[in-house]
Amino acid sequence: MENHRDEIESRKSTIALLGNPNVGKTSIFNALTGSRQVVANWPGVTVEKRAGVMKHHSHTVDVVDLPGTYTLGATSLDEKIARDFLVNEKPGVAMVIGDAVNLERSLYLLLQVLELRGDVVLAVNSVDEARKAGFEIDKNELSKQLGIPVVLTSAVTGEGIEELKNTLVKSTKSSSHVHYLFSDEVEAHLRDLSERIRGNPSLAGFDERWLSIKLLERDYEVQKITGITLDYDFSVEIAETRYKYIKRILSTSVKGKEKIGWNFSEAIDHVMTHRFLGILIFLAVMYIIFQLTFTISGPLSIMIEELLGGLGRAFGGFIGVDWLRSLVVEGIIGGVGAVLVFVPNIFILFLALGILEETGYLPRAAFVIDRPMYAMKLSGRSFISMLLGFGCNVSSIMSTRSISEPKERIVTILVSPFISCSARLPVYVLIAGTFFGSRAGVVIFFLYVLSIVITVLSALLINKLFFKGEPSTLIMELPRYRKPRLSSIILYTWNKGRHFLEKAGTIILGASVVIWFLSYFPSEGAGSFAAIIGKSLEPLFIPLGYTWEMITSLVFGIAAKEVIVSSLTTFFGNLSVSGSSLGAIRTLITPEVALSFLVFVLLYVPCMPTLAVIKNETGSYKYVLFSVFYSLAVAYIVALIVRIVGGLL
Amino acid sequence: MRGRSITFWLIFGGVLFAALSINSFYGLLLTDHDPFLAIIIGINSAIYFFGIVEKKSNVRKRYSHLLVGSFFSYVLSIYQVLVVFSVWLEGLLISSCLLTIEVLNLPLIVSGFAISFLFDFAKKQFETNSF
Ligand SMILES: Nc1nc2c(ncn2[C@@H]2O[C@H](COP(=O)(O)OP(=O)(O)OP(=O)(O)O)[C@@H](O)[C@H]2O)c(=O)[nH]1
Ligand SMILES: [Mg+2]
Repeated sequence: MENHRDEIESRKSTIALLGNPNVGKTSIFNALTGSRQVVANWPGVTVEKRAGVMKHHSHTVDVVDLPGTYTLGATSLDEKIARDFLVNEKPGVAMVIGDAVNLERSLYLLLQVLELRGDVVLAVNSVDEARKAGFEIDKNELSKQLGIPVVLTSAVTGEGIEELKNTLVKSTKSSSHVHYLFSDEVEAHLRDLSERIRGNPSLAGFDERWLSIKLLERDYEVQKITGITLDYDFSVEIAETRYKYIKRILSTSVKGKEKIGWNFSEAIDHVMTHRFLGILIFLAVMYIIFQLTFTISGPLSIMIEELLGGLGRAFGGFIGVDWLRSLVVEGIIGGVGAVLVFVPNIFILFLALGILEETGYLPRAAFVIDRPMYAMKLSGRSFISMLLGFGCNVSSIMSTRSISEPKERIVTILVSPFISCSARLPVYVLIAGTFFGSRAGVVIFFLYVLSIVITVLSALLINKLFFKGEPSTLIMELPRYRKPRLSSIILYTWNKGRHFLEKAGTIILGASVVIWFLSYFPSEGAGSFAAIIGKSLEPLFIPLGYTWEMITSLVFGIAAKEVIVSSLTTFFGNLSVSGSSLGAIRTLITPEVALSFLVFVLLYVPCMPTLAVIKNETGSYKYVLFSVFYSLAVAYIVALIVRIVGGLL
Repeated sequence: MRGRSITFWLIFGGVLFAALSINSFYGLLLTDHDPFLAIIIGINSAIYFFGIVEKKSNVRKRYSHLLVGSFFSYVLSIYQVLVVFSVWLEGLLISSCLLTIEVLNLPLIVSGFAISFLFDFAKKQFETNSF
């Protein structure tokens, strides 16, 4: 008996968080462990498992946040991560998080977990919203019916979090949890199959009833590990039994009025996803965002610029050695500073994207773009990933894990880099500010629209040429609209923006030093290594009209797109006159060449980290090569068109 | 408030913002010439106008146009205030006043804030489900 207890104690040391997408698993995870993982109001935010530590009184336990999943029959990569963790790692406690407003579907997952194992705790989250919507959940009744501990929580108000911690560290042994029976026919099959599985010693680690149920549901993975494939399918019947059971539980444990007619979210959606207005609203929202990132950051950038200018002068004053002064002032402070000036732009952009994600508008935007695109064989789920690319292409590629159709996933991965990420924004602001003055905001908006158009056309093309894929219909659920909370917006902005600062201290710093070196030796200016690199490529760029400085900076920009800004500043002038007056460049090229350069920057080769993640997620260099050459070709052609058309105007 | 008055408010919002749009497009009254902002304001106006196209019998759909339209107008006001604020701040930093009465676009700011009462009103209708 003692022994048994100890075993439970040690096994209890990991708690896995399971639940449908967007129910608030990560919010609860953050509340339990004090971590700061990204939370957003759309399904599929978390695509990896994340571990944290929860300390409560004298207890210390590991908590693992998992991607959301509707069933335990995984169809996409992120669902598979959740299920594999549960099945293979056998965490001590499985905490299922449910959505109080949509309890039925949450319980469906819970029942599947209960089929697999005991030691389950149910947290019914978002009770604040459920109360507002007018219903009460009787947790004691629910707990009695299910035979497991139930806690009502709200990650927003903090309600129930302490209780949840107490429940989790207390003995959660619940051998007596609910067992429900399927129809006689199904049960007979289950008995037969269990018998067969018990005869197989390699399956001793699994629950045989669970394996048998999954076999009757024709679960691919389970068929593989058991080596049993049945030629009959009972998945519909099994699902019906579960739903009937859930109905019965809910009828006694949830009280409150049924909502009549339209609720608030549906009303908003009627307009937001309106046939004509939807797309117009989307464009308006984009315009407002990019106009704001441009205007609000103006004064903030000036402040940073002054600060850095002062720093440069201070260092310049007391470094005697010529080359060292040049390295510090022009190379490091100038190069990195040129990028730091854009910190306000980046943070404001993320702030705005954070608001879009937290309110729940993002999936609507995807839905709206999806409608005309559906005929073109792409689904809205891909668009969510693509729209995330406005922040960073790496995160948009990562998020494709929740696309269940492999071909569609590959297409999305390949075209995502065309979405204009935040790293490209500094280049736009710098060049557009220099050449287009007060119209810069409009130019930037144009670039963003162009990036969406090229992304869509490329997706079409790649789909047609290589995959002949069918779109998976948009089965993404639209989350409830939520009033964004300041704390989570700030958390979001910091989480994403921090990455930019880290880059400034690493890649951009390194690249700045290298660029300074190449532009200072063997002799400054046209005799430098940098000039040699640029000039050797110049013939290729004659039709586009780029100077060697621009070409060299494009080469370095492959490390990280912001590097284009630092190299242009190193080549064309010092920091104190950056921003609106990269004066020297204005005498060298015309506005249409500048615009064509911006288009080229938008479309050409994805940055190194993006290429690395393409390799990682597709598992093949083939796609990396494709991405490099395809994007170069597209960039060249479109930039040329822009230059020619611009020249005519 | 029944069918008749919702139609009135939709027309009111639609016409008001159409006028503001034209105003910004040509830079007529207390505003700069800004065609892009004009388009954005025009989209706002369209949100109201499309509400009138909805079937008379479906009051909820009409209200949802009022709800989103007035919210959008409110957002436009806030947007304009933010723009004005940063222009002012930038002027302060480079010590020259960049602010003019045209940059302010008072008609837009005032209308957007004024019309936000329609948002509260429409929201209440949905919350109390009183149609
Ligand atoms: N009102 C309210 N909102 C909540 C609550 N918990 C989470 N949210 C919001 O719900 C949304 C989703 O939260 P997440 O924690 O990202 O959900 P998740 O389950 O991790 O989602 P995925 O990782 O996409 O599966 C966010 O907008 C949260 O702010 C709650 O208790 N009440
Ligand atoms: Mg999550």
